[in-house]
Amino acid sequence: MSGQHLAFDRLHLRLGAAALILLAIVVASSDTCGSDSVTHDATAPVGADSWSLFAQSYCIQCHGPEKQKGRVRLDHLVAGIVDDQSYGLWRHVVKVLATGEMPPEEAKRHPMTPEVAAVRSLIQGGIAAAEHAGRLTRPETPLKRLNRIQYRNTLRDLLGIETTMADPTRGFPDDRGGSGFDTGADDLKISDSLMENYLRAASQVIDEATFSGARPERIYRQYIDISNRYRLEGGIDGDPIGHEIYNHYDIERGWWVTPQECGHVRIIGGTPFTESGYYHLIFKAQSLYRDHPDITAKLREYSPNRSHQLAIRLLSPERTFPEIEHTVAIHDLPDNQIVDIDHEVWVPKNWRLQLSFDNGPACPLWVLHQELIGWKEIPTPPGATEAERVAIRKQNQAAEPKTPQSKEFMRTAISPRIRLHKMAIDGPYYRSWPPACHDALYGAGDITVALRAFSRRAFRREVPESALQPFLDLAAKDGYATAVKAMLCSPYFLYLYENDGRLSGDALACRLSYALTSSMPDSDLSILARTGKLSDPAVYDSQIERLLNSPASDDFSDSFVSQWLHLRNVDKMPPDEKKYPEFYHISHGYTGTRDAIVKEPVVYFRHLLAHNLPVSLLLDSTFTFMNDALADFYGVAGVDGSHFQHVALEPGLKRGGLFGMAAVLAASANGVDTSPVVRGIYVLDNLLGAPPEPPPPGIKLPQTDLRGTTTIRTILDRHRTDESCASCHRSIDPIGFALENFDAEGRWRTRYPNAPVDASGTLPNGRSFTDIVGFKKALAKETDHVAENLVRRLLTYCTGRTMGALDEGEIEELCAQLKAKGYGLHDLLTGVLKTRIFTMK
Amino acid sequence: MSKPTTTSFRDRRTLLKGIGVALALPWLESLAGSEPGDNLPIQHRRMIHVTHKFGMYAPSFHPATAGVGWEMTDGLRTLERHRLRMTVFKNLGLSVTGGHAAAPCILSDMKRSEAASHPDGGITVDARAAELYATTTRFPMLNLWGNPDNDQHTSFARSGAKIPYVTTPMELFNLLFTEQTAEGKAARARELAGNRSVLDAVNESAKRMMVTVSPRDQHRLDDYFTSVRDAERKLQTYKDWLTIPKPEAVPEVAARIESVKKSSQTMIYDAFMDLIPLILQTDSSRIVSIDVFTNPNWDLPGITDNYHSLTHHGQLPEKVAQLRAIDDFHLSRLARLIDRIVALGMLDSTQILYSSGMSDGNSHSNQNLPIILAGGGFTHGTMIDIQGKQPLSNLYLSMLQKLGVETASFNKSMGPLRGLA
Repeated sequence: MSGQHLAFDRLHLRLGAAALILLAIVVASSDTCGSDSVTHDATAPVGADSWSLFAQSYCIQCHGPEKQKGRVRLDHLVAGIVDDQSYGLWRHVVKVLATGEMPPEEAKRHPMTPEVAAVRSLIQGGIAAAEHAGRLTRPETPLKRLNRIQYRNTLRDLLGIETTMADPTRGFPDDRGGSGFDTGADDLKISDSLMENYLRAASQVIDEATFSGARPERIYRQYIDISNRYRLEGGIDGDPIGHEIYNHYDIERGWWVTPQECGHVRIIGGTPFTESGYYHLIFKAQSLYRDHPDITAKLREYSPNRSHQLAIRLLSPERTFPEIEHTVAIHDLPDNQIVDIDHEVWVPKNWRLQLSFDNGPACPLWVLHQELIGWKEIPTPPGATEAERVAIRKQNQAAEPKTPQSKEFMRTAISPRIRLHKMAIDGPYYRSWPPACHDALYGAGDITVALRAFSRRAFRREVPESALQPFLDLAAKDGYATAVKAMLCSPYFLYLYENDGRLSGDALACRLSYALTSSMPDSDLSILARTGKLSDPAVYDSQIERLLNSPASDDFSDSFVSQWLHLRNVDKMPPDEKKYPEFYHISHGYTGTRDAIVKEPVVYFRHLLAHNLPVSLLLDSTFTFMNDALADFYGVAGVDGSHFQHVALEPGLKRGGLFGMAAVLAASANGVDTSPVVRGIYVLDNLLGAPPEPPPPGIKLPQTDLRGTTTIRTILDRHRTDESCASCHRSIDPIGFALENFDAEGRWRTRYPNAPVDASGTLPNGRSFTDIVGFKKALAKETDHVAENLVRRLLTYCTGRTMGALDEGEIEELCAQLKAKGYGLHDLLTGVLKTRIFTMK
Repeated sequence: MSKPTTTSFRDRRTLLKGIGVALALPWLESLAGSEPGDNLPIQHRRMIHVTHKFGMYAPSFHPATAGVGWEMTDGLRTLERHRLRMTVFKNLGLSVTGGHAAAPCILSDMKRSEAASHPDGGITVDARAAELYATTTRFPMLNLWGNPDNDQHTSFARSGAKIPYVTTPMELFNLLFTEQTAEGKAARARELAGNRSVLDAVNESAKRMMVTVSPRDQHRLDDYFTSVRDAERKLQTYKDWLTIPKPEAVPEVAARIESVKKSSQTMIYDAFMDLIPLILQTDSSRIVSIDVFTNPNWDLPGITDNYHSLTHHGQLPEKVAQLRAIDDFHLSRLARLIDRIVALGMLDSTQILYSSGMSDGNSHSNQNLPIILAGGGFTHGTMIDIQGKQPLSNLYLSMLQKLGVETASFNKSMGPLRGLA
């Protein structure tokens, strides 16, 4: 018998899943369980207690009432009784007997080979019989509604309107729930307040798609010329060379924008976007003085190594704090060249335009000027009352030396800037009038014809005439638009309809489309579904490929990865600003570095998917993707530009794979400090699919004491020495210790304030390591678990349900096939999408 | 206890017409610490919850001895003047664990994962109280400020829906006082009427869909029907309230709220706390919850560190000192709120509960929480040390029963809280 122990206990995940299924369908299964509990399975061999004899001799001592090693307990299993609750455990027993994992090498007694074979076939017979007799309940995806993102994207595609800026789901609750994904059916229910939201949103989108007035006039407005009646805010009035932006506009700090300061450029006297429509945004921009020795050193939060970035943004008409905004583009400007920029954008009515020097210095020039002339203003103390603030401001205004040099300084100081030579807005214009969205909404022909056609697209399937009747009646009473509003609030629209058993064409098309694009099936996919062609495996495969290769699936990686790895934790517990200023460093509104950090795992995953690279690259890798902000953060040279690019990693950097990514390291910390226990659980749960049991109740949580030299290792020592702690913590803590060289922000450290970092440990599989490099090697053995866990997560994400006992067989089969092919990520995802689990309700 | 009588809408309109006088600021500095006004006869009982998620520095908070003779601690000294009006609790904790993850459960004592299977849907105590006033006041409850992070939400309705936060003082002011124009009201009335027809139609269509789905799924469509029905009821309530004028406030109130700097944690805190007495005074709502948003940076003198970082004080004296200063600030605002409720003569009719779902940020424990109850007509002046198994839900049950909610249980309660009269 081999002496390998189960490295990580995946079992309880399955047991947990089985228990959930049992709870959820207690009514349905009570008949099956109740009536069969006394009869023995007819196909069980004579002497059904051969299992109990075997178990007594070889298993129960460690897995019975006295001890439950690995949290496995076998004395409740009764030969011949295979039901939802025991199914997973039976399969596990068969498996560990087959691989020889059990009994373990150090066991006192070992069964003979024929004994093992007999017991295995007995159990397998019982399992097969139970499956055959239908005593195991098939888990199904319960009826669920579209989640917020899917709802919004569906409206976008159904009506052909822009929904990123004019977001109809503003104010909707988020849908993240128990499964960890916002696609979990159990969490996707409706409430009265959500119903109110739907009513409001439906009105809004119908409004937006309606263009019933006269076609608005297309106007070309040019701004830089001061004599023109259109004016810019920011820059220097009367300056013949045009408008310049000197620093980055920091919404969080709320820079007071004056011409002397110029953190950004905006249009004053009313926005040009008086009607929704397409607009050309036309600029000529020039980056100047990127690295001038005199002043650069004194400028705060400025990196002369990066090209100047001009950000073009649109701001919502509601002046909230912080602003609701949409970034049209960020341009990396080459030094000194005048660059032509022209964007065609659909702008919703009344949105406003803003241009920012995103990675400009943090301090305004007037502060710099004060420093240069040696005058400092009196700072406002925190907690000052309004009266005190006003008084101090007046004092400063009176005391500041008013020299003509101030304005002169602005003009002549050689400091980094972006100069605008031209700015013009051309629009609104439309590809047709009324725009396509209006025609799509109102259709052609009479109301009945139009509503029927609209319903076929909105409900994503054919519905009987009787289902349409309430809407036709409403249209007759209150008009077409009200009927459409009702359709968008009806369960036919809001819920994903799935027929029992093998999914029909329309239902399968929806499931596939919502999984990969978070939106309704496009017309190609719909037609194939409706004509029955989607049941052809070759057609189905080609549609998967088409969707994966289309830009519509870009969001899949983002949605899946950021939920799978809980990257939102980075915002929930953001790193302490004072302790980790680099996290907030450089770029607009504090988010440049943070955005880059959170994007890295997504871009990396997308790459592995696109090139079918092996899942093992999640554990370790020689490359990753970075942009300039992330490269700065990691201390990597030679990466310029705000776009993500492939970067080969130097071994000394200790990064590579998910464990080296700041996003993962910050998401598994709490913004202030790290906890090996929290990180260990994070890795066990999310990467290895083996979440540990919660601690027993009544455990007194340790109090951190930073006054001495006690390290986290000392505080957690009891996890090692106390057997009742060690049973779980020998799996948890070593992982966390290996990652202790990364602080709460994901930066490398070799010391705590009062002691060196010790990142050594031993995994339960016996492999030891002294640092993260050794840890990743030791973990490489667990690739099978990583792949299986990923398969399960994808299945849960794509179907919206938890896996149950009857799914185990197919999951095992799929994992074996993927292993044979090298665990390519593309193969893994397409494998998932072709399972019976995915293609059945 | 008999249910409070609800005024019909017509009566209320006449009542408000009669007032005609714009409300003044009840919080003028001169009122602080003044003699309490005559207690108004108790017509309407109210409940205020002040919660936050970061606890209080534990060694300074809890008194050692229970009973009326409890000796004052440094942590509670800010509330000294209200000693006889309040009760301090010790060893009251959540029945769920999870540190930060469990802290938002303070008002339900239940994790969201448990909520779905509970008959009351994991309703929080404030929402439960608000059910009593579903049509009586313009707002059955008001949920103020709050943490925009969706996993940190503190108030939930019976349906499991989050009670949305009123996130800025200006928004609250507008809800209370800003009247729509006549055209605005007419448009809103039309919209509401339109929505009624829409809901009728979708209800019909849902009935037709019902027969096409599996029995298991029909159960899930039940949610939809309940939502439509509840939404219809709400629409009717909105329609009724459209015809009733809002109270007016003197211009100083608006100016005060407009002067709030959005980046100042303390200004926002004060503005909200100052508006709470106005909510009660105008009877706009009788149930108010404020979830103090624990933004990283308090603009208080001497605070140089991020709040979260300070709660991980690690016993370092300089961090503990700053944390204590923030704790005192919290309680000073509570003390001021109590002052104002007293000045309005509403103390006996208004329960004020201060609580936090975590006891001490350093240990992330959800046990032995800092909880203080004031007003409401309870017998106060004491410290109650909870011994034996008495879940937090017991306290909430006592509070709900005092409010007039006819119920024998609330979430995980085992009975009213022993020791609280």
